[in-house]
Amino acid sequence: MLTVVQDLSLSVGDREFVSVLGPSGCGKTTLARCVCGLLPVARGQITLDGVLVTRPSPKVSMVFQGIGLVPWKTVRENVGLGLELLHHRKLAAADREQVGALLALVGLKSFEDYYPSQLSGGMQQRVGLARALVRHPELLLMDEPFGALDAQTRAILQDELLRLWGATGSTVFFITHDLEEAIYLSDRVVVMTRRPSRVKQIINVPLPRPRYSYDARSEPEFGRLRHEAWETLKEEIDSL
Amino acid sequence: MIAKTLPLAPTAGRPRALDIRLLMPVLSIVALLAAWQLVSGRVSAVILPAPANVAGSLVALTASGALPAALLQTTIPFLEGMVLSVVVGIVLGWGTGLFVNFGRFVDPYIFIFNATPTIALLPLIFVWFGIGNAAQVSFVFLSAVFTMIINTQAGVRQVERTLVEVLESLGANRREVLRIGVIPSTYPYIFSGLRIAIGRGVVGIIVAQILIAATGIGYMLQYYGEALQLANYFAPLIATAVLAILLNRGTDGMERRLFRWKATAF
Repeated sequence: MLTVVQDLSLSVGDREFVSVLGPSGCGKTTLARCVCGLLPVARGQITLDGVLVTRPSPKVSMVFQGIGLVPWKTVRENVGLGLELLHHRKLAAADREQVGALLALVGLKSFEDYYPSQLSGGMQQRVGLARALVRHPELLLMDEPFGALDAQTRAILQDELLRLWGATGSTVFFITHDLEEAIYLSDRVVVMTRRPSRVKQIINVPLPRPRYSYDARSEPEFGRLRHEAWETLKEEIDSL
Repeated sequence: MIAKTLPLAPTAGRPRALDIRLLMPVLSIVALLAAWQLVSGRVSAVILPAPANVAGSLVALTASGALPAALLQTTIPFLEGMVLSVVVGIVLGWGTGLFVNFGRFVDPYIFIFNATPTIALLPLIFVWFGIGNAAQVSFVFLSAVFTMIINTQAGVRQVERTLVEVLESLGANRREVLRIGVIPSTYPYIFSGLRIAIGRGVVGIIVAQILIAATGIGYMLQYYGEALQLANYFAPLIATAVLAILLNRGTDGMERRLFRWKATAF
């Protein structure tokens, strides 16, 4: 058996935005799947509010890089699935209202009857985000959600995510290999070592919020943090 | 992931007086008839009857009731065999796809039978089912069922892993994963299987009626063929072709209606 993640110890606080940054192939996705309860951990434990994670929890919503929308369901039905599978029953009127509200929040109200194949990648991931948020998760797990998008769309969705996070108050655990993305979004950036991965360094990001309301990326502090994170990450990439 | 951007309005456009999509098949048939007329004028009617003679035969055989009766005798066992093979094919395809060990157990036979020409099983069909309706139905069934099983099974095995993981992460139990994710994603595969199976089933019923039952269209083809009455021989052949085309059109229409969510390239 391949040991992907080893001796990793990390706790995430309530309403915190924490990113995990690491070289590709370091086990970030494995970590996300374990935290979600999709993959059992061989040793050690993952707890959520003090309860051991053994299977996907209703308190957690995960957003995937591959998005995984149901192709034969419309945008509205896909978002509704988030609630349908939470309650294990057909949607009630109140549920449908919530779905509508979420669609409006992510700016897809006028696309609710479209099929995923009719949407751009960025719009598809908005649907993925809405499907996760309609469940009002305490923890929003995101596994490289914007990794497949073009740079502009990614920047727009990052701002969108910060806005939604401000509105919902979920804790966010965000997996990425994009250093700037990690710094821009997070309260703390956890830099991982290469496989078997452990925590190499945790970088605090003291930039004020809301960051989308000014150009946080052009702050001198942002540059300093990016430099620090890059120096740390480079050692891992160099030694691959 | 590839961003698939489609025009938001349907591109089909309004049908014009001269629609090229309709024009091409019509042109093709006209060209065939013209070539046929040309050649048949130069050779004996025993070798190739003129299109007009075949049309005359079509009318005569229809008016006498012989052709409609034969069509009925062919269509009924064909449909019985097809329904049976579709139901059994889908059930076994899902079963072997979903229950991996059951699949491993059954797969060798599926592939052996799929590679065996149905006609090679003729002696067995004689012995087991005689020469009546049951023999014809079983011949159609054996011609079509393995395509249905293999396609349905492929559908189960191609289900996107991300989709299943997403459903599980949202709290879906096994039944919900099947109902929402796995089963619907086999439908397109079932339909492309159906398209091939219909073709094989049509071949199956004609062969069965020539070689086993001496009835229906198959028998008509054999009878007029051996009597060298080619004008009468072509009539049931054309009727069968029309039937096959209609079946195909029906499947196409159902497919388009069911799979509007698909982004197709053509």
